Amino acid sequence: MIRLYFKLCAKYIQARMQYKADFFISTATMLAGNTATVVSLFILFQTIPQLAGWSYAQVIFIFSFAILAQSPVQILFDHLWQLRVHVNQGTFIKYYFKPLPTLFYYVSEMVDLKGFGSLAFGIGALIWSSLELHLVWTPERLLLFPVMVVSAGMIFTALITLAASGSFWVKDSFSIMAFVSNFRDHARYPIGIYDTVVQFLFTWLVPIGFIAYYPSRFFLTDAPLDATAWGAPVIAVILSVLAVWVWNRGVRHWGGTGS
Amino acid sequence: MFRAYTTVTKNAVMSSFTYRAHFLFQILGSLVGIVILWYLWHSVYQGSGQTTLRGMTFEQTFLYVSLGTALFVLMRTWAEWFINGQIRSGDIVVHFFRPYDHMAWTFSENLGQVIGNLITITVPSLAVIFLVFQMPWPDAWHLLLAVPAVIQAFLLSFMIDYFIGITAFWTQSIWGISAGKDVIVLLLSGAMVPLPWFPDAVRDVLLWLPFASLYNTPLSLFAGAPLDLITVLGRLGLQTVWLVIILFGVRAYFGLASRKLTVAGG
Repeated sequence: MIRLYFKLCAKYIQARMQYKADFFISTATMLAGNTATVVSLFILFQTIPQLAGWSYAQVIFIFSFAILAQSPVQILFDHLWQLRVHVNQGTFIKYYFKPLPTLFYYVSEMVDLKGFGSLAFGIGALIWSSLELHLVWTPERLLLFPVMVVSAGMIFTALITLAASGSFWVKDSFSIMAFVSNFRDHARYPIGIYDTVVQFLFTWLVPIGFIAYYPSRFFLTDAPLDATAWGAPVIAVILSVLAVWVWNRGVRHWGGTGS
Repeated sequence: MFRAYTTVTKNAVMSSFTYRAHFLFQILGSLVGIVILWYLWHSVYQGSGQTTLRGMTFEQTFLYVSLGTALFVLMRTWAEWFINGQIRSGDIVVHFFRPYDHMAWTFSENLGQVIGNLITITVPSLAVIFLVFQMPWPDAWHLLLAVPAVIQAFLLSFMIDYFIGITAFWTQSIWGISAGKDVIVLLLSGAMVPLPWFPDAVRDVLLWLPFASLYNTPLSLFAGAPLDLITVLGRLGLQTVWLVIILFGVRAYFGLASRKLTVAGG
């Protein structure tokens, strides 16, 4: 299945590379978007020394963690944005005829190359802030880091997959996708800027706190590994299972009405 | 002739009410965005321990950024995606043979969308800003001057979108240039961080660029430090100047693009 995935991806990249100019423009846009956020934060921190107790470099760290967490969605699951088109035009039917899980087959048809530019930006910004803050990368932190990034990536991927699954029931679900994907931007700020009610919502209801802020804390401070640490992989698994279940239900539902 | 355009506008208003789920989530997204902005800037002011930052109070800054989001949603008609679709499907050719102007036709349709947006998204957003967050109302003459400022901002926004849409004659897909345009416009116009927050030298340059005409000019009328009449009229005048320059630019550009289309088709 992995071999198949790379085959499908290679096909897509081959097709894509015919439009080199488009690839360069898209990558430049992606980097410009990230740069614009950094510039806005920079301007903000010209006037204020800290945001909810976090310094400029610390906020950049949280932001770069968010970029890493959203990279899997951006690079591997970008085809979800076109689901509404396939569903509305009926072209989604082709995914029923292959002996493959539909979600896997569907997303493997596209790999978003411009996402790699963003990923590189995120890694660069993470290294910069980490050096700027003289962060100590103890063995425990080095072990914890991949667990946290993968969990965060899974949580955001699951949320987007859930939103995209809306296409199977609702006509023109673009706004649902846009609505959920905007939470990516909200996840970039320290949760401390919100009051306790909103903090609770962003922790347990729409767990975007786990996309960047909670995991970042363990690398930026000596915060003890509490519920927000072991909760991350647990929430990631629960949400992913839920997302796949809802997707499959949607696939069955749509197939039922289409025939 | 004019009747034809108003019909297009009316149809666009009607069709903007069609997808209810679409609007529900658009309104919800817009409101969540405004709430997040409130917390963000509230935290900025609280952490600084000061009531005025960069010459703006919290209320003025929050009004500026939240009305900025409302303005963005109001003016965003995705015209460039629409034109790109016409170019890719080839439907645009039909427009060359019809007795109306493509730009005027697209504008009529966008105007209808904006009226739809105004009723369904802008009004609820303003209700939240002024009734829930209890922001102070701007005084009457600022409101009065804001009307031409918003109209000119929309005209400029439309023409930039149209320009980007026409560029699709040359590039294959639209995402890159469209999103790139959004990033540049939002950052340099003050929609992301208010222009008064920029370093003075940078701000003074940005005030003269067309981007400021899109957001800073209307927003500084509703919010921000009070301006004297001369400054306001000057900015409205600058908006008009940019409008005329860009209009001529876009018309010339469209001529160029349609020649390229003929070459490709023949």
